Amino acid sequence: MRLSFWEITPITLFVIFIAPVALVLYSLTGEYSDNWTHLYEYVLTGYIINTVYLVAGVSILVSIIGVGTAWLITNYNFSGKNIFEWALILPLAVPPYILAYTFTGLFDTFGTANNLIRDVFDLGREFTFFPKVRNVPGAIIVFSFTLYPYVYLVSRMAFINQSRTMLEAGRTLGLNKFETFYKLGVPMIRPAIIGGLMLVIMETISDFGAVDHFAISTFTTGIFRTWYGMYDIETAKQLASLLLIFAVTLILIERYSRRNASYSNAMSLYKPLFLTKLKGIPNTLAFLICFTPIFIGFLLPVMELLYWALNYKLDFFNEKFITTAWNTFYLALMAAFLCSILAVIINFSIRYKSNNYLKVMSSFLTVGYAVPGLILAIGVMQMLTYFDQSFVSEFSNFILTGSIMGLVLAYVIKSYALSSSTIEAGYQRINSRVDDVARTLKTSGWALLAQVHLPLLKTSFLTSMLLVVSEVIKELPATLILRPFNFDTLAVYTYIYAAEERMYDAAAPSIAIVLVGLIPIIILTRMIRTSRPASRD
Amino acid sequence: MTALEIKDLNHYYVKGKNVLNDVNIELEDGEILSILGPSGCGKTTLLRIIAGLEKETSGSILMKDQIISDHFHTVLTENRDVGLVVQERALFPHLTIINNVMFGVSGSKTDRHSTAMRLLKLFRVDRYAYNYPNEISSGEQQRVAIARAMAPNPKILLMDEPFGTLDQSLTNQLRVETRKILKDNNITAIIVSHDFDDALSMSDKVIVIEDGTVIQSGSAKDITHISREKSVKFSSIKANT
Repeated sequence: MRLSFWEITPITLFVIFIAPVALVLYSLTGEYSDNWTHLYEYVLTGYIINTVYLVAGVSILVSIIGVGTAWLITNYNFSGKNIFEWALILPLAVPPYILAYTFTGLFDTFGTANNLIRDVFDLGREFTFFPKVRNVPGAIIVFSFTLYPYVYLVSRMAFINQSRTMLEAGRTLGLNKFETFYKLGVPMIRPAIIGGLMLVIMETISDFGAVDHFAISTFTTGIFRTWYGMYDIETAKQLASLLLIFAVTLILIERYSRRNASYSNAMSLYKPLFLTKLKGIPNTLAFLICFTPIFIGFLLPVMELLYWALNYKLDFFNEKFITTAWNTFYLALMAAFLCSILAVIINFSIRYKSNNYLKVMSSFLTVGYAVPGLILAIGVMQMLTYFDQSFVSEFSNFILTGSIMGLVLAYVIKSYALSSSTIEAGYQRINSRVDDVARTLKTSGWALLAQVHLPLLKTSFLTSMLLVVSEVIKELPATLILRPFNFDTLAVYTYIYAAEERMYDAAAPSIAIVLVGLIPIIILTRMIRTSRPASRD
Repeated sequence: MTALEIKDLNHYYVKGKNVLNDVNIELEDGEILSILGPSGCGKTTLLRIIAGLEKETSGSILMKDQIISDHFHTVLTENRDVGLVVQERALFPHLTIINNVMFGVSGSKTDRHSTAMRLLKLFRVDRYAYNYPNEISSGEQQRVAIARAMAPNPKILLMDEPFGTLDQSLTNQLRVETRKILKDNNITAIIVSHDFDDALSMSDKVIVIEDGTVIQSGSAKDITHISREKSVKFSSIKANT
């Protein structure tokens, strides 16, 4: 059988995308060193306990904030509601590690907040008002207030799709407003909540910057220390495998829960919800419930960053910043362009060839999003080293390992899911009969893609580029490992300054990261507004 | 000369559940054939197989005495010289009307432009040449879709429920216009429809398919003598769509 370009490309990509993960998992079959025994006996339990505490605490807090605010916004009219509707997503622009840096800057013994309290109430230097944040509860707050928008977004979508008649039926059966919320509203959108929660958990377990800054021992910090402290890559890979197995288990749970995802919006007769107007204390309470997460997750870190910037002469345009910003943007643009082009080619192949094998293979290509950046980086590094040793070392030094190529490859594998889902959504809007007609007009393959599909996918392509750019700019652990020597990105720049406790110097790159992070949020806000069933009436 | 010959064509998606059974069709140059039948009877599948958008399970298709598909050969859609008009019209939304019609035409830009303009004039939509598809009515869009399919001068024009979404008066008007243009230009065409009136007013030949099997075939006049029972059945399908 002769395979065409449209079949060879997905197969090749499948191999490239899966290889790094397979290489990491393969380490489980190898020998276990003394370091492993040491880790197993003394620190592994600590990693597991801390990770479980983090996951449990973040899950509870995120569910309360995300679902609670989504319910309020969907069902009630109160002061500031129209602003909260989109502003509740703003914390997504702040990566957990930046909130962690600003938290320590604010709440450490001599941080901005404690200094302010001492100044206002004229208290002594030994007085500390705010508790220490460099611990597991502090990390739970950091993750919860930066990641709750994932749960807010899916819950809001699901609540919007709930029909009024269903909730009114509950009221006629004797439920009060609160009971309607937790006995009817929430259970009906449970699959959506679990979906959002899984994303939060994945982000939490794969984070490196925040837990490292708070000096909390988790799998990611353990992997990093094993590699860079003990110089034992095999044991680091074995640890990474355990984390990967945990991540895969979560994906399977999420997929299983989504099997019933349609029951929340399977109503044949949709009636939009009536919004209840709140007054007095309920109005103030609703305002505070929605304002607090925005304040902690977005306003507070932004204010702190601006305070640092204004008080300590923010130098946005020094040579270091410009070089780092340039490095970051061209890497991000390169990864975004590659991701989007590959997503177009793969989705076109599936459509053009109508092949079920390609469809299955394509779904595997998106697993990179769920693989923690650190694990992906280890796998990519191994793969490139293998290529260098096998094919390059005879002619020259290592050229792939430690090059930008590894970094771009890791970004592409990690962000491909974002591009693929965006392009897939774009393709769903192009009637397949357009392809049929184009083929009878002697247009197929590349010509069909270039002359018909690409012009129609312009917006999707641009959206995909923007999503990947903002994702890549925030990425830290994979960048730390794979970056070429003496090559910094904004995230690395921020991390290095924060690690040296030079928080003021970290302000400029942090502000740049937050600003770029706002781009997908604007897109998301527009999507939410246009996705309401009521808006289609 | 025989424009199209279909011999012993069978097709299934699930083995044992044929969607087309032993279909045989012969169509002369310049003839218009209607394939009639209720929704899901296999008529659109047959049209897609003729266009090469699906591969038949068994049987053969010849166009102008050349095999275009059998057990050993398959000529790809883009090389079959067929034109396709679909119910959804499927005009390219990013191209102007003139560019839509020029899309499949080869030759110099001037030649392509004059061919497209001639067809647009024929269908009386030339004044919209530089508009985009979303700027014209559905009836005008359907005229453009037929013009676009005719523009590359195909051996056969395939039309799948071409007037399905249009109102009755517009449908009646388009039937008359389209038949006249097809006949004046000696174009062989196959029209798939579930509407008796389409078949009777436009075609020279009609075949009726039910459950994938041709249950009746003949000239349009012959088919008017179809049993009253069938007529009622088709009318009710039409009324329900």
